[in-house]
Amino acid sequence: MDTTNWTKLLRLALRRDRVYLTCWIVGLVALGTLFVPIFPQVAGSEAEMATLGEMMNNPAMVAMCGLRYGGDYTMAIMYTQMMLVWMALAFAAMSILLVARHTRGDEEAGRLEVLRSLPVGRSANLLAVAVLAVIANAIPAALIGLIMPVFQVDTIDLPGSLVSGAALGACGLVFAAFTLIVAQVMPSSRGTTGVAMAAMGVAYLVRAYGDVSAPNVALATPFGLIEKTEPFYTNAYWPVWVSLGAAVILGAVGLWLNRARDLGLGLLPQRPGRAHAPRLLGGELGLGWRLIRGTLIAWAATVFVVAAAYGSVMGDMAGFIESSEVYQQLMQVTPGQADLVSPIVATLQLIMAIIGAVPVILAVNRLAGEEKKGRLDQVYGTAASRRRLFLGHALLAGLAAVVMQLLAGLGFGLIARSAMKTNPVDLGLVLRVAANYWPALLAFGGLALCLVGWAKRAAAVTWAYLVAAFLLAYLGGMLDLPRWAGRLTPFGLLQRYPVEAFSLWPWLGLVVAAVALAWAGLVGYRRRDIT
Amino acid sequence: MPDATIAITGLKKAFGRVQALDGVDLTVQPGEIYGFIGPNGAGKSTTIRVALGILKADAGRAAIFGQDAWRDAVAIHHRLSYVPGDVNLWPNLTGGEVIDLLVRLKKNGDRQYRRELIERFEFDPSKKCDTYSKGNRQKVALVAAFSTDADLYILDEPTSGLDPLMELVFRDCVRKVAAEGKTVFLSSHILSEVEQLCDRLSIIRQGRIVDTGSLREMQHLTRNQVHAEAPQPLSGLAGLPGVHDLEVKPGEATFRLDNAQTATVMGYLAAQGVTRVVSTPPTLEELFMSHYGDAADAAGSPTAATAAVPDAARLATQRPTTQG
Repeated sequence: MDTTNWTKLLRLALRRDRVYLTCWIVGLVALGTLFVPIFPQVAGSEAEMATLGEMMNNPAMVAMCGLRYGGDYTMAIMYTQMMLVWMALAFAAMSILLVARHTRGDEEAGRLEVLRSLPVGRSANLLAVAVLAVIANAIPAALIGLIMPVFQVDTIDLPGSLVSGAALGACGLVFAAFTLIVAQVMPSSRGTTGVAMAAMGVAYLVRAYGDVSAPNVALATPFGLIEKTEPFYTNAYWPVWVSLGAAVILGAVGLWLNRARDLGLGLLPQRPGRAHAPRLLGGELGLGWRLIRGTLIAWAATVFVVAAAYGSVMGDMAGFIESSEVYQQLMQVTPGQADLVSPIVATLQLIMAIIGAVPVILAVNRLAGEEKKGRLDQVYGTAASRRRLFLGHALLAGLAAVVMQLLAGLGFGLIARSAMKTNPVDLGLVLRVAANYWPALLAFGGLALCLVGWAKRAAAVTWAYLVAAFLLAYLGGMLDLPRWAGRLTPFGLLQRYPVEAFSLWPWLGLVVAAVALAWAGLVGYRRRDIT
Repeated sequence: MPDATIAITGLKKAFGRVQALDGVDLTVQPGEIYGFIGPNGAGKSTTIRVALGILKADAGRAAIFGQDAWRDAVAIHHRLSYVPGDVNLWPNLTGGEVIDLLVRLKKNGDRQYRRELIERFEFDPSKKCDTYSKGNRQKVALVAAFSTDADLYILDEPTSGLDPLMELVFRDCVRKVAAEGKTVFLSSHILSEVEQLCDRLSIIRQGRIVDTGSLREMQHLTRNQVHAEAPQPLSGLAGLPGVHDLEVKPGEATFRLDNAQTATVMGYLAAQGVTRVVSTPPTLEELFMSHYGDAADAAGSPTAATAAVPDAARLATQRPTTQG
């Protein structure tokens, strides 16, 4: 295995990614530590913590967040249950994107070809990428471990924090190493990212299923494995070692596969395509659809599967509620009443809606992406009109919002109904909950459209806003945030149906706001340079 | 009088602090094959992109078919075909799909001719675009542009990446549409291409048109290179008007001659019993260099600059000569 000059390639990668990696590292560390000082607001007396612990042990929460482990439900354990798996998802996503970018991404851009013409070993780049992934995971892992205890929050101590950080870094490395293998097999860069991300999603879902009903199954996934570190309780390091061992083996396989692979080609062959365009590919709308078709189908499948996974825990949920006096007290309802599940439905559908907003934003931002890649010149050199292409993407984004919410409602409702033997949840109710959140998806699409029209470089604003909306929705319920804080996002502006009564005005208001933002975006888009 | 096909006056465009176009004037008449030459960064592509309504002009006017390039872009583009300088294609679409898409966005493609073009360009339309080389990507844009019916073809460095055989196919395509009376606006680096194809041309430099006309007109404005042989000494040339850069050797002399002084100088040469005169008009490359040679900046005037063309460039591009 020839790795001549790999250290120089590593230095080049670090130089190229100094901003990209810094952003990721700062983001991960912020996400992993900044909520620590806020958490104490949640807890009160020991009794209240016990109640919270009972509530957080319900199957829906376990599926969504992670295992509730340990004896007493402490602040630290609650924090870990809420944060560890989702942080691990963020580490995994960072690792996948980083590896795909530096392997097949660089190959497709022709950059690796230039390097390979120099005295550089065939395996040098892959080794450099592997080491880069180690650096990119180790730094935020260590920082999280060291910064968490700084806030002096009760029970969040140094040993537990360190094992949390180690678990996250190890999990990220497993996905980095896995992506190294995928990069050898898939025919393209997009395929590499897609398959690795899909694997990450499947691992999350299997973990969700396993944590609720089959612990050994959960253990087989990287996420379930690192949950077994049980930070702030047993502080076990063996899952970290197992993860790192798996990463080393996967990475070695990737390096081995890379030895004989042709540059720019995957082990799976590229299939020949059509010599003629299908009827659908013609006109602005047809082009827009073709560009985002794959993305939308992948996300539709994701939304449906995640919704179904959340729905499947509703069966256990009913049993849990019937057996848990604490929970009944908390909900102030009598056993057997269907309304017990309303808050759960509202919360899970909110999370689903936020996931559903991702493809809506992607559909819009694709328009700016095409421009950035210089592919719109030839389109606007034909009789294509800016208005029609812009509105085409807007229409597709709006339809995506409908489809995502429909699938979120159907996936959740149908599976929940079959899982709940007594008092099954009403499918119509679930669909109404999904419909309640639909304008929020539109609003995010509208914001993205407005930015495409007026400030195409600021596309990241939409994503940051969506992440903020997710954090407010995910943690806002537990943290005693002021009422106005919750109202800062489109999701917060809507009523929490069915817990609260549906209100038409905010719903309509958001639809109007979305349309107005889209219209403003169109005005800007027709006035500006396409560059 | 019909509208000029392309009429650009006083066009200005800045990107931040960079003044990309600084008052471009350009007129292309119907049926012309018009060349547009200039080095990288001179403003060729920016001019074209403003003419296409992709960029918005800061000042000045760009009209195509007498319609406003920005406001009426879509209407204009129904009658126009464009080949971009940098062809970026969608990696997940095949070449054939992209050709069909671009043709359908104009709605007047010729399927039969598309097939013929694909054959002549020896192009495989069933491969995904991310596997195409630069030349093959260029072919996608060329096939799409020429297989639709248009009154104006705007071609921005259309042959970059094409092999010499394919370049011939391209020239045939241009001559075919020109024979049909269509207008072609060809921006190019390849000066021989422009010399062979174009009726008139403009040279752009730092966002301004520095020279316009037919090649012959441009040559008239500059000095010919003259080589003369005579049995009697030719040192008297030094005293004649219009003679520059004189080099006298026994029995021969080489100099640059202002066209206006041709008769005087020829009279002198005849008197010296001249045996041979070779007069070479400047090539397009020399004209081009005369606007861009480093000395051009120092000397300031194009005429003076002509004389300062480096010998190497001049010698490398000797053209067929006229004997007198």
